[in-house]
Amino acid sequence: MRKLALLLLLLNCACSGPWTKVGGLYEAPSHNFSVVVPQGWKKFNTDKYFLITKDDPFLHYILIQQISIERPFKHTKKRIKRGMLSQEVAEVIIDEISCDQSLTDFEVVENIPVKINSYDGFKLVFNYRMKNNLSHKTIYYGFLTNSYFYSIRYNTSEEQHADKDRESFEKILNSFKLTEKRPV
Amino acid sequence: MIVISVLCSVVTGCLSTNTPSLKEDFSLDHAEMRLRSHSQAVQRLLNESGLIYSDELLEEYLDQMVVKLQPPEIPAVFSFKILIIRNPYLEAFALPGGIICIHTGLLARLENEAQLAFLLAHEMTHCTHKHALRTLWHIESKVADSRDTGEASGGKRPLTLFGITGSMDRIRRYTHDLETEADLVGLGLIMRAGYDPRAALRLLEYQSIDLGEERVKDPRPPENNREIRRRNKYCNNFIRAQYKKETPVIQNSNEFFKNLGKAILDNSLLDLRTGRFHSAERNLKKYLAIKPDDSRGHYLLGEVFRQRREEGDQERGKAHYTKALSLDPSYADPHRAIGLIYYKSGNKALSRRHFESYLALSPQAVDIAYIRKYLTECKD
Repeated sequence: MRKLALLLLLLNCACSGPWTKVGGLYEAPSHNFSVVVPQGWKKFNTDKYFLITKDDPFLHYILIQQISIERPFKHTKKRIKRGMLSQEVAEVIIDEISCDQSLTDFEVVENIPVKINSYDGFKLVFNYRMKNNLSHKTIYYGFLTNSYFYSIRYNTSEEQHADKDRESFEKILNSFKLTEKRPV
Repeated sequence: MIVISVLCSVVTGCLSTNTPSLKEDFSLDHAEMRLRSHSQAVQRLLNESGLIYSDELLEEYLDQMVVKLQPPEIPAVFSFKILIIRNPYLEAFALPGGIICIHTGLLARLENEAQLAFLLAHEMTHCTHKHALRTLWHIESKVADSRDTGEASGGKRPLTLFGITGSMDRIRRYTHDLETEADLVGLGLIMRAGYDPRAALRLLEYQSIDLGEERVKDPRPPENNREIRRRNKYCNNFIRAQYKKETPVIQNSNEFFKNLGKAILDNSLLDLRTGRFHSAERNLKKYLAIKPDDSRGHYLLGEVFRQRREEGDQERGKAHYTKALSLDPSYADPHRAIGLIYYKSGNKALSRRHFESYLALSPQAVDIAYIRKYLTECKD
């Protein structure tokens, strides 16, 4: 979380160059997914993940990541393993975030099973406070395929943005499609 | 500010010949005032962070240990305060002014009261011997030296010639020396209080042992291990010269484990979250050796096995969940865990039985949506 914040800071400071306006169908062939993005968002130019914001990425962003199974996390030594239940994957994600000592007041408000693009997955809603005392709310969807873990999250600073783009996030989530072939 | 932060957070210590006498005037000069004010700020931050672990019984016990170890020469004005930090990693540090911070992970790792005494005496020595202040003076003197030499060599300062590394190495060596001083003075204090110093020394090796167990690459610089070996050697020499084996020693095993029990159990949950399975397993087994009828201890050990997923772990986990249920039939969580093991192995009938027991015992469970989904699938 702190690494991401630092990255965002550097990006923000480095002027708006790395950001490109997006809208409509977006395909990420290297990450095997596509989404439809409503108008008014800007995307950070990287192939590593899909990160969009409307204004300040510190306070408000949507992030989609494709992570290889078994990839180590930063704060917990636990790994996501093939064959884990969605509930078990959700627990690893919760542990990873709760072990991040740069966050305080971490609280999971919701943890339920959901279907994402026909895959069994989970939905987490959690709150936390950063060292700058700003509180954040994250809606985090995740699911496992044969080789990858996908996460789709919406993060807002509660004070400034609350749920103002929740609807856009839901649209992006519902439009999310995997382009890799599902193993038989 | 960075220097002060380093001094406050890195434990320091030295074998220099000009160790300040404990009878020396404890009035504070400007530099020490700055260090103390910074350490108060660190303490405030820690208090606000929610990382402080609270356990009245343990805090009282640690305070009593400090009093037992405190040299009589220390003026009454110098009071120690111990802060226990909720963190599974093996760390302790002293802040100027007598604040000693110990991670729950280190407390849970200790095997006997002599090790606890050594840990406290070591950190107390950092405070009483003003190691942070002396390191600050040392850094300032090195900076002044390099400035003088720089002027004498026509403006080419040694720092510029050899890079900052040379200077940092000297500072590191100095802090290593201060660590050794804290070890030796600490050993003296625990021997005077009646502890066996030989039982205490293994404390120095725990960090390396644990990194090996977790199969983690040692993040510390290579000289750190050399330094630990050097400190160990000095301590052993000191014990050989100073310790009389026929002296009766304090064991206090019951008292020690009684007071540390809750911290060991609570820390194992942190170990589990951080995926430090070996550490969690070792500490829980230690806990269960003292409290074999503790259902939560058995449940957590079951969780270690279930989540680690090494060969045979699921069966080991199930045995501990079953034991937890035999000790406390109203305990819901072991039912959930056994249900998950059966569910994953395809045994629908048994998983269903345990999931139903779980929901009956814990109708407001946070993961109720998952369990209902499993139950629906088990009925199909």
